[in-house]
Amino acid sequence: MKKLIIIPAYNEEENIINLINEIKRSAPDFDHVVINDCSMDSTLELCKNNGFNVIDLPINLGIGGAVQTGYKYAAMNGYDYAVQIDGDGQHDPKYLGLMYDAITAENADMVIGSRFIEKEGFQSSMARRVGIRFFSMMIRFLTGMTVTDPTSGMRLVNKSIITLFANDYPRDYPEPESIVAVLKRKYKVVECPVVMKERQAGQSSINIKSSVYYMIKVSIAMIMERIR
Amino acid sequence: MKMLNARLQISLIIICLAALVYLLYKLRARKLELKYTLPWLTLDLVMFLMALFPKTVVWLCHLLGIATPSNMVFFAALLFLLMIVYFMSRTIARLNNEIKELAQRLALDEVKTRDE
Repeated sequence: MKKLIIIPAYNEEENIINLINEIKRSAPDFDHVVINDCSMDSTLELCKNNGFNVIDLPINLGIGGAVQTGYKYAAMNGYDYAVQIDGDGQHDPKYLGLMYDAITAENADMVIGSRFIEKEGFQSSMARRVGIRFFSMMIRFLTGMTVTDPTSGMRLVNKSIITLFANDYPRDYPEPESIVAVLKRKYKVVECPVVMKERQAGQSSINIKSSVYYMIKVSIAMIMERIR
Repeated sequence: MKMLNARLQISLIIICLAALVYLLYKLRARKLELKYTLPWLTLDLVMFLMALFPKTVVWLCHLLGIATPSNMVFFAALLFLLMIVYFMSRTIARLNNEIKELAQRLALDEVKTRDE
């Protein structure tokens, strides 16, 4: 089985080397590809100098565009499974084995690594959790399915969904909307418990000011996706 | 001070609903992107609210020194349009720059392959 780890990276020079080494250590059966989203720091140089597989985007596309590039790469190279891991060190590669076992054992199309099943590790701020709860309820309302961590960037998908995402993936705040897209097409989505760490270095791309806009936009986007 | 007359209210409501349906259809068919449609949806909402709450429109008239409620409605729509068009100017500037970057990168990549 060909398996790929997609690592979107924007200004992750402090963490990218550790991450790839950790991946080689705990998930040696996975290939990796770093998507450098036009970083302003030395992320690209570090990847090239250390021989990491890196795709260099000529303009900044944001998380949606960067990750979709990874899915296109996966489709182009005939991968059977692709999983996203953030470049900032919040996701631990040691759970990849668990997620892969889950997708094969349950014959699922997509496995989401959820922080909130066992409720261990970094649980995010109160404000974010309220937002996440809200998206959970929206997904439940739109699709009938309960997803405890709809904003989790740690998702493993099979070939069908690789093709789906390679062709169509949201640009901004893509996680909840893409889940609705997958569920509405009657794919099987399961969750498995993971522990995430607090952001080690670098800056998050989400802040309080854009939160209200984010909530409104994603909610409308999810409804639109459902009624397409 | 004339109240917002009932005809205007009804016209506004009908137009806003029609516009909403149109926008949602285009969004659904991917002719429009949500990110760039939100300002239009907001304008639609504001016009709709003005039609539903004429007393608030009158209050705004007093606040801003506008003579009649219908003027207020037009003024608000105009203000919104100005903001939308400005927002579009910014987007065009950004897109233009991105195209330049892509063109240069493509051309330089061709050089790189040629020289290898």
